[in-house]
Amino acid sequence: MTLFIQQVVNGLSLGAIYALIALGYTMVYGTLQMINFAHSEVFMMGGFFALLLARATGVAENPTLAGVALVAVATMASCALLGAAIERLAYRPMRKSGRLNLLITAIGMSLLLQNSALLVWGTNVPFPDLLPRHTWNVAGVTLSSNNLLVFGVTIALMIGLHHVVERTQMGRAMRAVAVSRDAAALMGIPVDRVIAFTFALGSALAGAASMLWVIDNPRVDPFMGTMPGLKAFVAAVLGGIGSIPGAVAGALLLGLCETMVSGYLSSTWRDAVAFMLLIVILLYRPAGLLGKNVAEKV
Amino acid sequence: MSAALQVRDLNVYYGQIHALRGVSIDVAEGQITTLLGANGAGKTTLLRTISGLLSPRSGHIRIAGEEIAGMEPHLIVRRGISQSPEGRQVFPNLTVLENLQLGAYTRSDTAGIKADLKHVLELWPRLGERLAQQAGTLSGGEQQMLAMARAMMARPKVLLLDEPSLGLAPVIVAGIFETIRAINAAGTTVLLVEQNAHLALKIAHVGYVLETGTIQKCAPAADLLADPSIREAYLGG
Repeated sequence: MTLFIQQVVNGLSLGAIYALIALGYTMVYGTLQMINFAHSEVFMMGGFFALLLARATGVAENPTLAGVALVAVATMASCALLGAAIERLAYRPMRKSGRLNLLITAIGMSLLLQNSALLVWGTNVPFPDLLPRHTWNVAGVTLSSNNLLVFGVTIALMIGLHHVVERTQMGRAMRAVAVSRDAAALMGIPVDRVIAFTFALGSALAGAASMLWVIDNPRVDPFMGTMPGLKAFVAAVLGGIGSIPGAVAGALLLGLCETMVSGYLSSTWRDAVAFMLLIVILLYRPAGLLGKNVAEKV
Repeated sequence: MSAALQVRDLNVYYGQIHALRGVSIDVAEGQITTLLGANGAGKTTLLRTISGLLSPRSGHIRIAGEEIAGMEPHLIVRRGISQSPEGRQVFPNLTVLENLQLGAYTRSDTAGIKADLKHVLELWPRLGERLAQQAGTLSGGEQQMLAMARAMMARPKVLLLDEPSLGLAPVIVAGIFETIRAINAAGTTVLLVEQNAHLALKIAHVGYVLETGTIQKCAPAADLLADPSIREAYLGG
């Protein structure tokens, strides 16, 4: 039982980070019906941004809570800018030329970012310890300060995202653009700006995810985005791509699956199980757990 | 009567297809102008071009004298043209209220938006009963009302209506046309595209007949109603 609860804690913690990344995939898919394969590289760049920002502000040498929070916010902002820039420079000119071209552009962008990072920063760069680690033993279950940080930050960001999407005019515009770009334009919605905002928002969440990731796994690498990015993509498909609650549910489920497999079976199986889950979902429920095919009334 | 909306020598292509060939129309301030024509004549193409969803290859579109041809759609809405598109195109997963709020996207006068919301809910009380409901759950007639109410929320100078009667029961269509007349009487200029020529000519001041991308006729609506060739082609003899 203790092992089970322990793996639930670990699984939710891992799943929360997947969820932050998966939201970017699902929101972009919702608006453009494209898989932004460069999204995992936005996550990776977030790690490098955090490192550079921590060094530049001196937080790397003298970490304070306020300093770390500042670095986190600046990392999210940098990722938002990067995401919007990728959309503006690479995807927007390709938008009229078909989905396959867009997909290939995304893969190209992913390779470009990976190899640029490799050229500039190299591999396996150590990340400074920014926060002291505490662990508590609650009835045999180990709870770390990092777990709490991940839960707290993720929940706060989800509430914020929910507010933006459901309660603001920009959120309504995002949902309208996702339904029909033409109909949205007829409302006077500046569609290009809304799409750029969607990329920025998803990328900011990926930036938060990478900040949480490097605090727990203190090294940054040009290829660090590949696996978490793929897993987050699986999570988004699992939950129903295009659906925001679906991405969160899929990510938590995937995180739990992985840690359960690691705990009860063997950690060598965890990635295999994650991708097996993808195949099963695509075979038997291609719309995902919370995705649905909405019928149109004429 | 001055033209609220003026279209001159408009040429629009879909790839190789020449969809509008030198189309010129005047939509007079304060009037209902209707555009008749068979399927594929180019009526929807003209409205999409006026709203900026399509770019003309040549020609002019002016609103209150200002050139808007080729301008981005959201800027055209800001200049006072809003459209209730063909097939209604309400946002099905948004509530009725959210659809109406999006209609006022370009505006920031909170008090004016509130007043206009009250006004459209007086025009279409059915929508008021369904504000919190997802628009996709409305009936076809209610969706048409929502599409028109949403367009009115932009407080347009010129309202473009594309086939408001499409697929609706006659009794509902009658109500919709009554409302169009009321909107116009309250001061909004209307450009109405309609398959149901009889109904359209009855409420319109001026009618244009569009055939395969060219304007064939332009006359006061009453004259078109009496015109034998129009009766034969569009009014069922």
